[in-house]
Amino acid sequence: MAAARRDREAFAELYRRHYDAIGTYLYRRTGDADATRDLLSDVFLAALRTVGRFRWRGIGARHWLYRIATRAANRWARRRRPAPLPDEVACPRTPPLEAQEQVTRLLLSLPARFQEVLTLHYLEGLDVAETARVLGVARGTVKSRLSRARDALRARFAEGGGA
Amino acid sequence: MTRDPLETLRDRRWDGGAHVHELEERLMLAHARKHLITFTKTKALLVAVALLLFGGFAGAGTAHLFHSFTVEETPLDDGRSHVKVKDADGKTVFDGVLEEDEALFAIDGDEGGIAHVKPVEDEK
Repeated sequence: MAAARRDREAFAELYRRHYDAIGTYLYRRTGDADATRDLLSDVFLAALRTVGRFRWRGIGARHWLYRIATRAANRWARRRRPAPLPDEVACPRTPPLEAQEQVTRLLLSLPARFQEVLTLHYLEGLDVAETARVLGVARGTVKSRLSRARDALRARFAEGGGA
Repeated sequence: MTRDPLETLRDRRWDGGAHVHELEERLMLAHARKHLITFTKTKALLVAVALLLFGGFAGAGTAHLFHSFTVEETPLDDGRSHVKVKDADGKTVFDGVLEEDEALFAIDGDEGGIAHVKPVEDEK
């Protein structure tokens, strides 16, 4: 990271190492390829601007990028026009892409603070402590948000006929 | 649908295709320009000292106005500011977003000089 502040090739290496992971996180958050491309640009340009202020405070480079990406995805989620919930939620016969789109719509219908914990913890595989560091909140806050987010998602799932 | 609705999204992976290289090129260009367009507050102090020294050598401690700019600073919801700078001819020379703790930036001059700009509130 220190080298990435001054050295173009070091920053390029940081970018190449984390592009796929951050892209996958944003794609899971948005379900939209165009938005993912735009947000990836925003995230890495923001990283380039702020890399000089990066400090190792118990947070690694990937988690630092997750933090920037989370803010970008939350801003995007707030700006987007809400899509109606699916009439029926996917069943085992639903084609995978269609099922993913339906679940993304359910996820996006939740508050951003629930979207971020669910995605970081369950999809990106971050444990509670890592999720707390990315979000800059206490571990207890992550645990309670996860519990409420799961309940909210189940409720949305049931509304959509998936129960 | 699987037992956990989120399970469905685990298979979703990002394949950037050509975007990986396009963005890398943009970033490398931006990296080259970075030191000319953004300064943090810490660096702003150093730049201020440098300008003071330069002023001392050039004019026995008197201040010199090299260029004048109009700076429009619009606060954004997330704490950052959108800054637009126009030169005396009304030409936009900088249009970008400053982070919360950025207080100074620089503009490349046509003749190779650099103007350091610090947005300040208009007292009028």
